[in-house]
Amino acid sequence: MSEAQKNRTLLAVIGDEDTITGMLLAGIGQVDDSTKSKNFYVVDDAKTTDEQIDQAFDEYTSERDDIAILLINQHLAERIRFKVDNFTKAFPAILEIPSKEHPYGKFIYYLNLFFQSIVIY
Amino acid sequence: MSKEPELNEKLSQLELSDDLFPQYERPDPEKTGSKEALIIDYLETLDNYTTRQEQLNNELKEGYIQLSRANYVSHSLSKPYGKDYWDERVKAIRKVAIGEEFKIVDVDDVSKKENKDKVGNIRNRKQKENDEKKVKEVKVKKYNPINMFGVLVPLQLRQSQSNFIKGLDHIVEVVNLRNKLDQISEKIEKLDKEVDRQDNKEENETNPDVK
Repeated sequence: MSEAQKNRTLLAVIGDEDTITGMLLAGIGQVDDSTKSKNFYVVDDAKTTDEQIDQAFDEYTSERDDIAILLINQHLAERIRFKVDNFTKAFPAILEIPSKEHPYGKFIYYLNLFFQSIVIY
Repeated sequence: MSKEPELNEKLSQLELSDDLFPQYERPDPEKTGSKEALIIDYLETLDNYTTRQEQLNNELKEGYIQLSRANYVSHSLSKPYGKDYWDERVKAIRKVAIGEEFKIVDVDDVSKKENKDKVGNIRNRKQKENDEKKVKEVKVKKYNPINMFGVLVPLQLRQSQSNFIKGLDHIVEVVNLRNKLDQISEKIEKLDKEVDRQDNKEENETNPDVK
């Protein structure tokens, strides 16, 4: 394990209010004392623009080096789909999680399955 | 009574009804090609992956429902449990350790161990006692993030918390399985390339006669 990986201990979240409340309950929230930077970014579906989500995504993927897994609500990942799909680095791992109003759709589930099966044949 | 041994024998031969291939044996990688073995491995991992994802979905769904219930129960409060309650100085009590694969670590365990190590190094006895007291205090002060929402929180919020904690385990497992899938598909691609190369060689060996 390299030194760079050793620092990566945190989970970060980009999500709506309920998702972040839940993740804070689970105890992954961390606010840096000196810089006041948080590892969670709350998105208001109506107010937050795509650019702002984009910026938060960049912050957690490229600027900060202490994040091991980045969780993002699926419907928000959909808004910056291009960026999420073109992210190829090994760290942080990105995982799309369901939100309150947007559970994992069956459609997406089968689409996932389909694309992954294609890899084999 | 005399029939019982026979019955037991028959029962032991019976297979579960949902087992579609009762005669199926896991193939020996030496007998089948290594590619087939890899594909079987891949499909099994894929199955695990999708079931895990479904479990994660269910766990989080339950968490959201309990959170809504907590809001409903305490509707006399002016604000719902949300961003107005978030602690601006919160510290993570669950972190990720990256080894062979990702793993969730409770931070409290780590700090306790560190304290014990320190006690071992100190020679002065008085200080040692003081340190031991400190260790005990650390144990008592275990921080529970639910307290940012108040001291007396509804039961539903606690249930929601346990749902999200379980969800966290699923999250890490999903990431691990996805990494494994990527590794296997890489191996398969490598094998394909090797097979192609060998085919080309064979063609080159047979072709000179034609030329």
